[in-house]
Amino acid sequence: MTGIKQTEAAKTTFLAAAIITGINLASLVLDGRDHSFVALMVTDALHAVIAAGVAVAMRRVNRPWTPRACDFAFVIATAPFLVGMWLPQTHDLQTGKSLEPMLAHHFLLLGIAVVAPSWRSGSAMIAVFTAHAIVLAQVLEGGAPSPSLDREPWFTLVFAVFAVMLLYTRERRRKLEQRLAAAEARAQMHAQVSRMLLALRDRANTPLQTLEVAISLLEQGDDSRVTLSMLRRALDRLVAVQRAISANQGPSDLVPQELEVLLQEFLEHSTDPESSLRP
Amino acid sequence: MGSRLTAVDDSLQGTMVLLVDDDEDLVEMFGLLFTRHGIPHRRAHTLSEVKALGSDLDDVTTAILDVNLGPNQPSGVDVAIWLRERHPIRIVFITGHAPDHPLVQAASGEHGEVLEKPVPTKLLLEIARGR
Repeated sequence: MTGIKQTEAAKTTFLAAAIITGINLASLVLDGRDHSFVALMVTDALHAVIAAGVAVAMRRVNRPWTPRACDFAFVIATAPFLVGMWLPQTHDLQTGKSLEPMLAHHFLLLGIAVVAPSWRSGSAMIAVFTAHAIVLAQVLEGGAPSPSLDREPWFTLVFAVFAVMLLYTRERRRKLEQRLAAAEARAQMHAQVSRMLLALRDRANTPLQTLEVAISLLEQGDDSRVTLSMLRRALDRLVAVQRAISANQGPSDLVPQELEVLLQEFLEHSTDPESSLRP
Repeated sequence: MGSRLTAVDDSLQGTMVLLVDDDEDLVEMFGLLFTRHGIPHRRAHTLSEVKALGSDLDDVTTAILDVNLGPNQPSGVDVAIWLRERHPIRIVFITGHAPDHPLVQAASGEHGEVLEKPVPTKLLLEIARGR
């Protein structure tokens, strides 16, 4: 289950980092503010490099990413937006070209909800960027009041609520998938144990029957060489079964406690041979 | 494999048990047990050996059959069907397989009774004596 969670979180983080890289590269090429405002160009370029680095690391580092590491990588890739989204708006404020200053924040909140690797990092970044938007709106409103700022901070909060709801839905679906995967893994393990028990039963029962009759004969005073050699051969066959068990220990992820429970259930359901007589 | 007829206990007049199992040791053990208890019996390991017994099967009253007679061999169910086509006899299957094994499913019901190995010796003797 953890493996599935790790893989999914790493993939999502890679996707987020790749998208952020693309957004910053597009800004560098298409956004005129990047061409005229050096600080913004440097910020976007650095952000693209950081996000690209995260994306490459998510793909190339040859080790499983823990959920915590994925969260950290997502925060690293996302946090530079704090600067990258502040600078252009303050630049617009100075040039008097501010039209929809909070639009980027609103898209970002929804984007975080879609690509955050976990509820923990997603909700944290939504909270951070909502606060960031509210503070920015206050600053911008103090500088040059704009009609689009009149609806703040409520409009941003509505986006934040939508983003949280979207993130929560994703988290619920992810947890359900994990539970299903865990249930499937358990079912496979139980089926494997069941097959192992059935195979043991098939191989052990015939020599057990020989032992049953041979011991009965011995109890009746028959100690002939034939009976003793049958006993020896039956024992050898049971030893062979035992060696087969040792050679093939069964599922590698078998939890001993679960095996104990399964064996106990198996023994409890085994009936008296005489009662197994069926018409 | 042929047949073996032993001294018959008076109370067992008219009783004849057919033992069929692909495990030679087990057939030998059952044979020793029945011989010791004066139960007349015949032995075979496969359907073809059963058929080879020919008219020796005419007096068989109970057949104790292993369900699985080995790979690429007709099963105990096939033996039971073949025997039943000749004359009605009591058929008891013994098996090491699980109850949901297809052969065991086929064996139970109309073909005969099914016992799981290891069958207690006392029960085995009672079946052989027709009780």
